Amino acid sequence: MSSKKDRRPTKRPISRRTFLEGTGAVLVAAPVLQGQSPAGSPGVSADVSHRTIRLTVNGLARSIEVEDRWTLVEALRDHMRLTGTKIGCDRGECGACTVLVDGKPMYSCSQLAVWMDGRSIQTVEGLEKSGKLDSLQQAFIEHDAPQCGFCTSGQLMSAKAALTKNPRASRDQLRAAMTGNLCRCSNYHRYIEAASAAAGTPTVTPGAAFYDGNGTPVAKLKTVGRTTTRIDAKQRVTGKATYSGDIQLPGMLYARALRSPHPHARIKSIDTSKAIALPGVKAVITHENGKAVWGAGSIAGGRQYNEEVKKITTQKRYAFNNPVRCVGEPVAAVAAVNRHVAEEALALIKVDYEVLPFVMDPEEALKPGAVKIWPEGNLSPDVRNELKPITEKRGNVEEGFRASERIFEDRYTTAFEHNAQMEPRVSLAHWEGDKLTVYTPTGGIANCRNDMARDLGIPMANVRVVCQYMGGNFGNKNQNQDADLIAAMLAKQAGAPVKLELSRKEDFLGMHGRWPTTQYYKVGVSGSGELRALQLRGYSGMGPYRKNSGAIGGVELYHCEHVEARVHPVYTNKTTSGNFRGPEFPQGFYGIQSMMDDVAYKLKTDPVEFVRKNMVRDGGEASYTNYTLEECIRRGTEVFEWTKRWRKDPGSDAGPIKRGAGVAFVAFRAAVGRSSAICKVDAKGHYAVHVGVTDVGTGAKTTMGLIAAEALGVPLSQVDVVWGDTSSCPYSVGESGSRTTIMTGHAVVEAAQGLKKQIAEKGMPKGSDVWTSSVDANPTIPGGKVRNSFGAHFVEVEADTETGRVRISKYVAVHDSGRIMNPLTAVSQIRGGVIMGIGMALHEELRYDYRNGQPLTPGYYGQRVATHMDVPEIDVIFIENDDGYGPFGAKSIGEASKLPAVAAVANAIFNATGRRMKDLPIRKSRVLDALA
Amino acid sequence: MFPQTFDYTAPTTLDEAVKLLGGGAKALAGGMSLIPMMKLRLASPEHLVDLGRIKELNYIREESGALHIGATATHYAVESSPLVRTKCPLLAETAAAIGDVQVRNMGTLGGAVAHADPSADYPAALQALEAKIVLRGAGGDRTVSAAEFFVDAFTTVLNEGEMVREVIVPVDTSGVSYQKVPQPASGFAMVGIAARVKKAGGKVTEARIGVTGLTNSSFRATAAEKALEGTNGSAADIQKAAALVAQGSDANSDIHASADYRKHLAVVYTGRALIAAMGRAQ
Ligand SMILES: Cc1cc2nc3c(=O)[nH]c(=O)nc-3n(C[C@H](O)[C@H](O)[C@H](O)COP(=O)(O)OP(=O)(O)OC[C@H]3O[C@@H](n4cnc5c(N)ncnc54)[C@H](O)[C@@H]3O)c2cc1C
Ligand code: FES
Ligand code: FES
Repeated sequence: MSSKKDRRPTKRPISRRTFLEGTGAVLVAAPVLQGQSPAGSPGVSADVSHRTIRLTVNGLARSIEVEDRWTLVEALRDHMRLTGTKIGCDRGECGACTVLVDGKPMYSCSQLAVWMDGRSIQTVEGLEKSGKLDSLQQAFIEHDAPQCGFCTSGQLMSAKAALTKNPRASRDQLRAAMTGNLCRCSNYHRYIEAASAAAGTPTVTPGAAFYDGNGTPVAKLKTVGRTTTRIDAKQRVTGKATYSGDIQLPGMLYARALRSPHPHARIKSIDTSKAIALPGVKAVITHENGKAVWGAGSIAGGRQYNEEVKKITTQKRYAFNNPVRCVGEPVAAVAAVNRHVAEEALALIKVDYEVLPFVMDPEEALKPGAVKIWPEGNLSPDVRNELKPITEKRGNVEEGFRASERIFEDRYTTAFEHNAQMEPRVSLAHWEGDKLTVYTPTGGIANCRNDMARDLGIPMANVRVVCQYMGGNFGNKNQNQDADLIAAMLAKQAGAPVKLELSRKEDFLGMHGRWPTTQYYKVGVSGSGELRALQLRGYSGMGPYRKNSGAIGGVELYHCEHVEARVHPVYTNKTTSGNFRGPEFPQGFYGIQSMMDDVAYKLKTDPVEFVRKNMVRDGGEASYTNYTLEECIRRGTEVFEWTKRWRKDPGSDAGPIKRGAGVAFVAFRAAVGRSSAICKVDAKGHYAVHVGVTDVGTGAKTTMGLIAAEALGVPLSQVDVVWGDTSSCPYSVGESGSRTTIMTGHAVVEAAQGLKKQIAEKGMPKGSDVWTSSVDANPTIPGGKVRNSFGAHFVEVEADTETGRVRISKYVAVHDSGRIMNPLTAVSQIRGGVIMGIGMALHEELRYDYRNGQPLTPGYYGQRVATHMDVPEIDVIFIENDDGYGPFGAKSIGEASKLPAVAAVANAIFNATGRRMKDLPIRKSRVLDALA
Repeated sequence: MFPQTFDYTAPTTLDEAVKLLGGGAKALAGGMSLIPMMKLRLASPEHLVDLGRIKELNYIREESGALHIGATATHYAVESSPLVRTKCPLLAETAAAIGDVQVRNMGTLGGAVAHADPSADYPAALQALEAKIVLRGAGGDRTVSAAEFFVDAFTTVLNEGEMVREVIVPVDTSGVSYQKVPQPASGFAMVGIAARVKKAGGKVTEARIGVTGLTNSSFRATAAEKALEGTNGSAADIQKAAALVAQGSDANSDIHASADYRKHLAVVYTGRALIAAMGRAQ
């Protein structure tokens, strides 16, 4: 090919930019599987180059046939059925696929299977020796390492290798060894605690401290409130937990979706003839033959989808839309005998687009003459399907401003932040006659089932939804997905089960994340620094569909007579926004609590004092079932040593490293409401509680077990929890809004009480009898009282004024989440939320190029989710109390932990640098620019 | 996406490999860059030659005052080799700063060098060490300096059919330091500075500064080196020298860092690397 004379450099036809943008581009969960799959789908395709390799897997010598193009993870998961190894990104970013090759951790997604010839591989399944867990697995269980568990196998393998190399590895060494393993649940502390415990060198990490709220000690209970390891932890640390993507059904086909490359385009025609003709293709659908309204995908007002909303929603979203309104919208889907064929078929589909102009920014989109994404314009209709902003009014702001001595105005913006749960979306649909079963990652099996029935026009009784394990939620999973509809339609057409898998990039673009906002505040205060008037004009970028509310939370945090908030949910051609851990709050709290912090400094007031003076208080705007905000702040300032860490004169440190402290607080709904549960007992004294939860990583299964055991007065070991399958579980509210413990937990208490009553009346069942107590609970709080959880976060940062780098040097999170059901998982929830909040504050963003409407960062590295190395120590303090509602006084945790974190970090950066950071994320370059 | 189908050969001798490469095949080393590129169809080689089974490419040895490192030595092998750690600590320190454990266990020196990612770490050290890179083609070996080898982003002087056989670095006794600003998720260097300093009689007698991440290709910051040589190496001298590092450079700009921010970081990190190196210089 080359002569020695030819010294021309070999130009590669790629730039770093294309490479980076490509990273994570349309990568699929690994190809082919065959191993024990049914006859007719051979392991290797005869026409593709393949060979036999000999290798040792978990100590067993094996000889297998592999296609040369298979990756190791594909061979392991699909051919050898070792599904404990997961795929999170399929491109060397996340570590979910980590296995040991000759003892060294490697990404099995980035290795060819053929390369393994003669080598020895260890996967998570090989850690257990003759039925006995490895001490590391045991430590993972005891230290609550897995939340959702999707990253756990990878974390285990990296920790295992590190400890084999150095059995006394320090925490820092372990962190460095495990930094290739991302955890979106952000349970990083637990992974390191567990691994260092296995190293025999556990160092004390600040865990949780508990205080009784309001001076009234909380009476200790028997089971609830005791540190309890998760009931399903063993499945999660052995690779035995079955996630939706791990399921294989006989005769199953593989599906892939073709997605729009344009931010806005009309499909003039689609030619699928070549795809259909490709051998191995079993079904092809497009907007022409795959018509189904995806109800939950576009909702007037963006609240819970139901019959009422269905009737009034006029801006319908389909499984396939024409026009397509953002990059990543599905255009067609193919089901084929294997993934490779499905992919090839996609490439054969010819779509003729008429490219339309697009608009990316919500304020731009409302200007006269802006591109209209819907005929009605770009302001999204409200719950009554009227074209009005979300408005909240109290008093008369104009009057309030007239009565104010000083008035302040400012603008804050927040970014699009993707949920980025570790498990890429997948849906497996299976028809038996007119009965449909869907295996899909959902935190709301009941709502998903309702949605599927409604969208497909079939009776609810004909739909079964199953989700036993799920790799993270964080919002947007308490309904059906377009992937579920597409899989169901393909399965119907093909007459076989169909598994539709999304790549990491598709997951980022085809799904939903936190709506970006622009917030304008106007604040009036009295001479003594009391709020007189508070006004917010906000704009939320919803993408092209109104999936969720688009609200901006925060004004309700303050005690103020005159309030007006007008928030405009606006359509844009970015990917659709949706709920993400505290849907409207972290961004709103950041805006308003930055604003108020700024006002405090301008009034020369200590921000903590300003908060104390102006925060909501009991008997003000509302009366609460209990109120501990004051106590949260008092305790926090004390433990954090606020007076020592806070700089009276912001930015006054000499540098180059400047320190400063910030505060933010939270009041978050902990309302009671409707959910159901079933409790049963048999003659042997075995109890079972059936609940429609999935346990997205919060520990909900365990919590339900604890609550049932407490209410029944039996040990947890006597209670089986039945979950994750609509065929055996009653309606449940679904895992969103931090309400599972409160609502489903309350139903469990009532069901248990009913069962106890039966036992009291009839005695224990005999023979084959089973007593059943089935409850559809709908508790209320009398007297119009509001039930909230409260909290306050205190942060110290170190800002490097030479590089703009911000490091968290102290973090104290104080929370009143009512009675803590399980301290172990509660602390994990708080820290996970805080870490996500820090990520949102400092670096996370799904960025777009506004010139061409193309996403720039659709992947873990691009969005820059937190890693092992980003995590500071976090002190958690619970102000425990029992207000008499919820199960034993439990209140919300999961979302409340993230809400104040962003504002607290931003405020600390102000205190350290003297610069108010008004745009998220507060990237290093932004800090540096502000200091310039 | 999946890789297009390809042929795969895993030769056990260098000659065989060179023959196959000469026939148009593509080298596969650690695969950390190549396999993802194949999945994205940024690369669709018809024939892959796996270098992983060629024993004569995998070594680290000392020969006449220099370290010779075979192309398939993994980052981990370089980072943990007692020989490299004691005789060329800058290279070991740089290897240890690459990506994460999984990447270092698979990725190879030869692959990283041949791939020439503008954000790769090794090139900074190889520039500062004035390393030599031995290439093997059908006509035999040729040796080029690091300064010649790296041409542009993902572009080197390698000809079609030619491969990286080994890298030669000097046994090095200067004070050294590698300082980088990692893209925090991937670890790739937004800016990476490798510094070497020798002192005698209280004066800096030799300074070498290798820069990666800043521009399309790694380079030696000769103006900054010159500014430092002959000085006492005081903090002020270092700042003066560091200020020259990005001068006139056509800095890269991407979603991670703008050109100006990269230049600023280069100056700050050159300062930090030089201070650390100075502290270690005899
Ligand atoms: C998640 C992740 C993080 C990373 N972080 C970093 C980082 O922080 N710093 C950093 O420097 N790098 C980083 N890398 C890149 C890593 O160092 C790669 O290993 C390296 O760039 C390529 O080496 P390889 O052995 O894997 O080569 P391959 O991927 O096998 O090959 C890369 C290219 O080089 C060619 N090639 C390979 N060997 C030879 C040879 N001997 N002669 C000629 N051509 C050859 C191949 O044909 C191919 O074109 C990262 C990679 C990943 C996936
Ligand atoms: S799946 Fe391999 S690193 Fe993410
Ligand atoms: S436990 Fe790590 S991603 Fe969920």
